[in-house]
Amino acid sequence: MEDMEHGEPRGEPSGAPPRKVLVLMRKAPYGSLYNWEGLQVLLIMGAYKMQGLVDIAVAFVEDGVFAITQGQDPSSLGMKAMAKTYPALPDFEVDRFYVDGQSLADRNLTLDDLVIKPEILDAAGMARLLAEQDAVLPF
Amino acid sequence: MLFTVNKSPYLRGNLEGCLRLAPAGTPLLLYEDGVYAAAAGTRVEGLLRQALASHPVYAVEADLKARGIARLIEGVRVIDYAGFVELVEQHPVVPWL
Repeated sequence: MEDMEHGEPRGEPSGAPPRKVLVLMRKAPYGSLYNWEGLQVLLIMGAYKMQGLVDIAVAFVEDGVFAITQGQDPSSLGMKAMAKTYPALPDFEVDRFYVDGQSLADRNLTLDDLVIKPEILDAAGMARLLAEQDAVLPF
Repeated sequence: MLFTVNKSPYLRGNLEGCLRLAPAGTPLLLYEDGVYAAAAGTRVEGLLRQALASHPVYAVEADLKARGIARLIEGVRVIDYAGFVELVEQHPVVPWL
């Protein structure tokens, strides 16, 4: 019986504070599958957040900022426009977005070029964000 | 000789390395993530301008469209897949992967 009870608490809020998890998007969207995989993880993590187990955030750095630019049309590559998924993430309880200001500036991008409105952080702000995480998952 | 570049110009000096070694006058073809180098106003614009000074530079239209890149550096020639094939037929290819 005790064994069964040990198996049960999964998915229940344990009273412990939720673990802080950051998905760190570092790669451009269509040249590799990293970005797509990161998105899948975000959708899965949303389910854990609903159970109070994790506190999930997403940060876009380096070529990861290309994942959320407007005007993507990969139909001629036979792929889906991945940028369209990001504005829907709050429906999956993923609603904390950050972007590295330097990475935007390097690529001649501003918030107006993006499909979501993440909070812009400088290098020190990004370092603080990373430091406060229990786990960082880079894609 | 045709140098084809399919990696982001922000990665590991990939485009820079290609430009250092590609003989002057040889065409340079940007495709997949390589087309980010053709966007105007970026940190790597100087690199591509340097390329344009000594190479014809091409970028594949489908890859530009997929990534929503609308503002290009002047002088970059946009080509479709037929144009890609034509270049490959005309030159020995050096894939700068």
